[in-house]
Amino acid sequence: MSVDESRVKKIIARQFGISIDAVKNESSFVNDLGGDSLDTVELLLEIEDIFDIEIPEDVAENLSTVQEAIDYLNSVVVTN
Amino acid sequence: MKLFKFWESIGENIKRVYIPAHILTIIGIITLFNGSTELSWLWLVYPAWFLFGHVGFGIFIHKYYCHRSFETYPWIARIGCFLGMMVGTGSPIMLRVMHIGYHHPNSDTDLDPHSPNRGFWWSYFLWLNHKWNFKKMWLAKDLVQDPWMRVFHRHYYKIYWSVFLLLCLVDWRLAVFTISTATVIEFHLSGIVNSVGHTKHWGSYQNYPDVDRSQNMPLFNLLTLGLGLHNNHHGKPGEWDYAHKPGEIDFAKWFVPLIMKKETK
Repeated sequence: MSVDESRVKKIIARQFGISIDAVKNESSFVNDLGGDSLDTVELLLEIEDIFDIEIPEDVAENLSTVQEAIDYLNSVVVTN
Repeated sequence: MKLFKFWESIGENIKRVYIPAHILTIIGIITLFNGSTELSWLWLVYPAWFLFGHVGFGIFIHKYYCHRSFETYPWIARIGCFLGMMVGTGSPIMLRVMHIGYHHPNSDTDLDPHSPNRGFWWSYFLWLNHKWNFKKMWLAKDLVQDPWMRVFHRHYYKIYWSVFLLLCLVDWRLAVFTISTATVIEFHLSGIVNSVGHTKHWGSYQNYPDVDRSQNMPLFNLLTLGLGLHNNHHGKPGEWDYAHKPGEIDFAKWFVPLIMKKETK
């Protein structure tokens, strides 16, 4: 079982204040979705909160696209 | 076109804060010389720097928000942070990431953003022109959770110039001889610490020689009451009192106990 991608995209769209249709798997938070580094940290904090996980520093600094966030959630949420 | 490209190559903080603050300070000094401003305005300069630069930036933004070296009450910290923003050095979130993510762990190596390895003027101010892409933003996650810190980060320049304009409504000289001069002084003090403070020179010494090339600067410390003990800070970055040996002075020794909740490190 994997995480619901549309749920993740909805969280991202809400954080960046954009339509969910604009959130593609390959979208970069900063280059494509109009966010900045602070938006990205806020998004990851929101993801931690919703999925009840703690993202390690070395992982957080390398999560820059929607697909990377989904892949990471698949690796921790499902395993847990 | 060349001028435009040159302007584009200048760092945001230099363009938005340091250049205007220097121009305003020079205008203020000219008016002192031509007699349109009384010399008594100069009495504001050092106390204003001490409040905004030493207490606001040095104790609250640097020691509390960057290094979490003591614990205090949130509203006291936010007021202190607000005061510290008036020297234009950048938001606490950015400074935390730069300090504990890049400067301290890599001090005096090529990974240090303002190492004198790249030249004196690089460490003094040219590093501010570089378009840094600090990836270690996660180091400031606790600050990002504070809505006040997010506002301070996103609206840094608006807040800085709004306070300046508010003081101008009272008297333009009040704004210039407090905020502009404090900004200029802090810019040069930080430049001295980043360059001279990481280079062995006459009178300098180290209590922690194995850490890096940071130096304690006794004469500079007499003027700044703590900022000159840079090697002590690098030796024990988590300590809020930089005076580690008899004869060394740090104003924080008297101030921090007044606002401290409990010691954390």
